[in-house]
Amino acid sequence: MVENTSFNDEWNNLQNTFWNNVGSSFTNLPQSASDAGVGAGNSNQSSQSTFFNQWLNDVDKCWQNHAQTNSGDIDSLYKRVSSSSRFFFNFTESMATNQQGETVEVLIEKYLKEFTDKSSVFVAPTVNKPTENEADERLNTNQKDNNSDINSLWKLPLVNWQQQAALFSSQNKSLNFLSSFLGDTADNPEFSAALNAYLIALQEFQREFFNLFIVAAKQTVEALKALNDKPASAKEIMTLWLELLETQYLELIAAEHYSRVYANVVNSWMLVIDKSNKSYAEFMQANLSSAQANANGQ
Amino acid sequence: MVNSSANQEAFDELKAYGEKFGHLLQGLKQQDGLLEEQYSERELVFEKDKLKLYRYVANESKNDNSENNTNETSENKSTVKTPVLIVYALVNRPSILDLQQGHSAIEQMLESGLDVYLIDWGYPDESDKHLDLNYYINEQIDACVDLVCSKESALQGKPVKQVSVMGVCQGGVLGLCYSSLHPQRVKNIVTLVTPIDFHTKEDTLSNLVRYIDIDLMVKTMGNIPGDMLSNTFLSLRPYYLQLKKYLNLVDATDQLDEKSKERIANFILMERWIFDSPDQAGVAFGEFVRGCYQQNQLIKNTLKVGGCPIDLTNLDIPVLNIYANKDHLVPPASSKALEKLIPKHQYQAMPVKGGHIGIFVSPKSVQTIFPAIADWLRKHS
Repeated sequence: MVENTSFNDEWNNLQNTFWNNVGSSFTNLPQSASDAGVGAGNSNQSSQSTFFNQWLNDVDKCWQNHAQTNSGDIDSLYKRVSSSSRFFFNFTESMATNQQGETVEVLIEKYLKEFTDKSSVFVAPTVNKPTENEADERLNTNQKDNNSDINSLWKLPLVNWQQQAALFSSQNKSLNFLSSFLGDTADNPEFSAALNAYLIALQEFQREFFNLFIVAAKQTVEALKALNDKPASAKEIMTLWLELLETQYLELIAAEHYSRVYANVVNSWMLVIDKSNKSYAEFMQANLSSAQANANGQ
Repeated sequence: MVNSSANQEAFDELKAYGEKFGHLLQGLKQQDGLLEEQYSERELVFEKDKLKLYRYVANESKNDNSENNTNETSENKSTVKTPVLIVYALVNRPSILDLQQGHSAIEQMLESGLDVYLIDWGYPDESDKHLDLNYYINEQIDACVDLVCSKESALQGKPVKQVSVMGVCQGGVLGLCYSSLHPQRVKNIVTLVTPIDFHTKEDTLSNLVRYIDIDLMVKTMGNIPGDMLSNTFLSLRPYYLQLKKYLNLVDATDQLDEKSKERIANFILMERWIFDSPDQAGVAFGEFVRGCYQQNQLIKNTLKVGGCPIDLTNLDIPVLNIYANKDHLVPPASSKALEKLIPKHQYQAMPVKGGHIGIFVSPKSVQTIFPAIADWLRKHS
């Protein structure tokens, strides 16, 4: 094994600079770090302006500065560890920085209220067929992902599906072609109907995780209230939350109802790709015929 | 955690985490480019299309030294007559069986006196999308059995007409199907974490695919992307497998000592394996999902391969069925169902502690399970 002195030096320098000089000011912050606008730094990986993202961004830079020797699997592993760590830092910060001396349970309850209030528009109790613009907007919203903040926790199972959907579509040239050249999907009713059906299915799929997240958060609050020995660290609180989430999740995905909801989202996306294949074939056929007619005319 | 004292506690916790994070990154840098794809020495003995058949080479000096230690050890390491053909799953890679010294199931099998052959199915591409289960079972496995028998006949100086099949996970299903269709070629079979009843209550993977339009998927995709399967497996435990697992890794790296370095190396190897999922030949994938996961035909004895029915109740050879008590991919109840199909006098179960993957990589499991398999094979060879 080779000691990577250059990396170690840069790392040690980063550690000393941040934790000894910058990080210690965190303990004197007047309010939540995000409210104070601290730490936005040079973040281009997270929309969250949290204090410790500054350090995590510098860690990324440090890693990348020595990336020339990184094999693909090591670099991929780094990204997964980094993403998880970013979440942990933001979670810890959220649980720590409050002025009123509120307990963790109260903080989670407040967070939950804010979360449900903000999301109530997005996750409506009944789903109507979306218009073209709504469909596009929802698709964009669904594809946005930020793994760093607590809100991302409810979407974590969705990330798996988004990656699968991206794989399906990236392997499918016709879908990309269709979006680039065929323009408005309204001109293509079959494709448009398939896309709308997918978006409705996706919304129902999302709602499962949204509800699950709320239940698990409430359970976390109840569990914390019931504990005589309160968790001593953010890691312990987070672990409790994650375990309750996982328990709920396992129950959810074992249910008959879920298998239908999941199948609906997968099958409807397959149909989107299938319709795009058909449209692509028709488009190519029409253009080929036109080109041949022109050639014959000349 | 409240007020400035809460901030101080959080700061201390994050700073401590940051230090461990640094140890981990230094450990990752140190391992970069140094980890081999597989550990044990092997020779390529056969190739057909994408398939490669390997024969593992026993480390004679290691066996000799060990054999001199005790009579018991010497007895344990006597060579098992019938060669073992490992049939791994089409999903994922067989490298999990031979990751690293101390974690290698293959190494343990060799040390236990087994003559080991392994089928590596390779990576199907666009040209393979039409391949079906009949191809994998009646052409590919059968060709490997032919090759193993002829190679062993030459090595042993006497005719060898049968193999022991060791099927891992989906490979267990393929191995059972092969044994059912070609009983004269199989002396006995060992199934490891093999699904038999695909509709048990705990089988969340089966629940996920129950209503998928598999024909539409295969028609649309051709081959099924391996990354899609990786994502599906992750989606069975997303909070642990995509978040908590990595935080635990950092937390466990208090310092960068030899133990931590080994842990990091193993973690890298496991991650490499988890995300190294071959694409699946579309037709075979469709047949397997529809027949097994959706229609549960294997346990009903209604599955057909190449038009021939697979009736496991007629499988009159010794069967050792190994399943893990914490398997979240193939629940124990799914594997245990094999008991209902195999004649009682031919069936033996071996429940083990651990998860679907853990039993192949945990040194403790590897050192327990594979010598026990060798003992069983020795008795039934």
